[in-house]
Amino acid sequence: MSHYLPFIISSLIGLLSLNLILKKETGVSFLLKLFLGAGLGFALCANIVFLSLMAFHRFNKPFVITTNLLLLLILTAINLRTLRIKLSFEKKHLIDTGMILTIGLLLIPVWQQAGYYIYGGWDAWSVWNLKAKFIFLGGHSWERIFSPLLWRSSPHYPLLLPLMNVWGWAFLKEASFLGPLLNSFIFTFLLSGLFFFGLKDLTKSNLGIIPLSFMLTLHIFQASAYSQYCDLFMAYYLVAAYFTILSAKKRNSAQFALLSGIMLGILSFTKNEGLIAAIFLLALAMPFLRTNGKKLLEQSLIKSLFYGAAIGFTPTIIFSFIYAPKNITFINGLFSLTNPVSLTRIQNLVSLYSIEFFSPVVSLFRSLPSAAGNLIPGKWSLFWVVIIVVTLFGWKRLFRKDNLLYPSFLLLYGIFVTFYYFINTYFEIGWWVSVTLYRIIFSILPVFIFWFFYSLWKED
Amino acid sequence: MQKEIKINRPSVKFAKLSFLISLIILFGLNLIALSAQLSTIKKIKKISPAQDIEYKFAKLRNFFPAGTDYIGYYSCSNLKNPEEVKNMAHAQFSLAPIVLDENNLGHKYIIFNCAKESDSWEKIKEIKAIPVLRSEIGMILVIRPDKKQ
Repeated sequence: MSHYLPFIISSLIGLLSLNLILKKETGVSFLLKLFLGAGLGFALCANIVFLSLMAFHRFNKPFVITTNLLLLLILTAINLRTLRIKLSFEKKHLIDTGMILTIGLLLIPVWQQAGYYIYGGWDAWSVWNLKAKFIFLGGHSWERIFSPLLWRSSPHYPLLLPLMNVWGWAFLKEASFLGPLLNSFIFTFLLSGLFFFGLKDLTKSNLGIIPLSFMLTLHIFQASAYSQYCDLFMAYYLVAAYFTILSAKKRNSAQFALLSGIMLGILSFTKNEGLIAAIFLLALAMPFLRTNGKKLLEQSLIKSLFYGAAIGFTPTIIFSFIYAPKNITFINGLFSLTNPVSLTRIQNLVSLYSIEFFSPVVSLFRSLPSAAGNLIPGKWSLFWVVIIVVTLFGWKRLFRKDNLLYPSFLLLYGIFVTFYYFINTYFEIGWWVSVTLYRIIFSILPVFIFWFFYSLWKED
Repeated sequence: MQKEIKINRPSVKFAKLSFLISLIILFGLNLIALSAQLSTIKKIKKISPAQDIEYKFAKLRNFFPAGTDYIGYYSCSNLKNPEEVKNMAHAQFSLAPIVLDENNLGHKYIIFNCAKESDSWEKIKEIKAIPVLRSEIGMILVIRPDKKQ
């Protein structure tokens, strides 16, 4: 039970907080609130651990547990005053239950594989869970995680996932492998639920289960889910931020705009890639949420977005200015004499990108004469080929003015990532792209499919 | 505007239909690949029930006195080999929050984990360290009483 308590408390805190934020909103289903709220709750509890580190210079277990329980008590009391429970069972509830069961079924293979890879992948035990152990067990010496001796663990990376894992151990005496394993599995479930119910809320369609089923059975998705990497968490908060921005616009809701700012802030505390993504999305959300005919100071959605961002980005700002060391795995190839950039680096990048996205097509043509077994697709399962073909027919809808938020973000983010690969000559480009590109794509895949489906299916 | 919508609709319908049908087919192919993967995991589980990255260094965890912040980790190489990097990463994870100082022989406690055990012993003799523990895989923990930490 001690393993599961933190997750129960976080989910409740998140759900109750979301209920307060969205109290004026109608028509938001309970399940959507649960999947969105749980993510909010987990981040809130993780930030209470961060508060403990700042206030006491160590992980103060009694403080963290007491504060979380107190918060839960206060939120429960506030919500009970305004709670109106309406119990009814309709056909849509049966469908929703069926969808939850389908998601559960599709996650069984993830659980089976996670049950073998209990310590996750390389970056789990050399970066994220390693930092969590230092924070949990290190006492006042927890800041050794920023030591240059631990350069392989990327000391400059933000701490959301390690803090979440520490919270997962709060009721335990040791840093058990079960904490991070449960954390990753639960977030895979939350991502799946948010994806489906978010799309359902925006498009009124249950067909979102088809792209979700495809995504959950994709080899690379499964591997990334049980590897306990931060990319999964970045994927969740990207979907959460995108969904809440769209909802703010659709409902003309200051509450959703506030929530989107908070989600962007949480996204910025996942990884450095999350920080860049959050900044780009925040910048693009402003013109998207702008109401025509109103002056800048009268733009209530933009104001709420910024209030939310001010709250959400605070841990990132504190971490960046007070704790984060310089990135020692960076050489600016534009100015370096020992590791300069070159045209070859660009050529290699183009080849590596092509291999990453289109190697199944090449393999497919090579293997046509031989057995059908060779037609089983590789990493991305011919997905990008499908996307190109579908885009040819649906491009006017996909790139319509009101759907341009995500493609604009993707363009900016893609340019930035490519530019960073180009100028940071610390790593050999072939190795670096081969171990990181698929994870960057994985983190944006759910929100990519979300945009694709939403743009084609949304009610006009 | 009316004409534009009429031209768009069939292509959007086709885009939606082709998207769904393609994903259903790819979902089917994914399931085939997934079942092969799960069957591999099932076979591996018969040999070992779960991945264990701490078994090599677990017995060292409670060995060091309180206040030990840094220890040396010597691999007889400059850790370019991925297997050696993995070993050190496993050691670091197992022994956290102690920090492993790569190839630094100036600490009181040093773990020797060379590819050839004889290389470890040669170096231990050279620095006049006292071996205190040897594991089944040839990892050796030594103490240098002349060093503070």
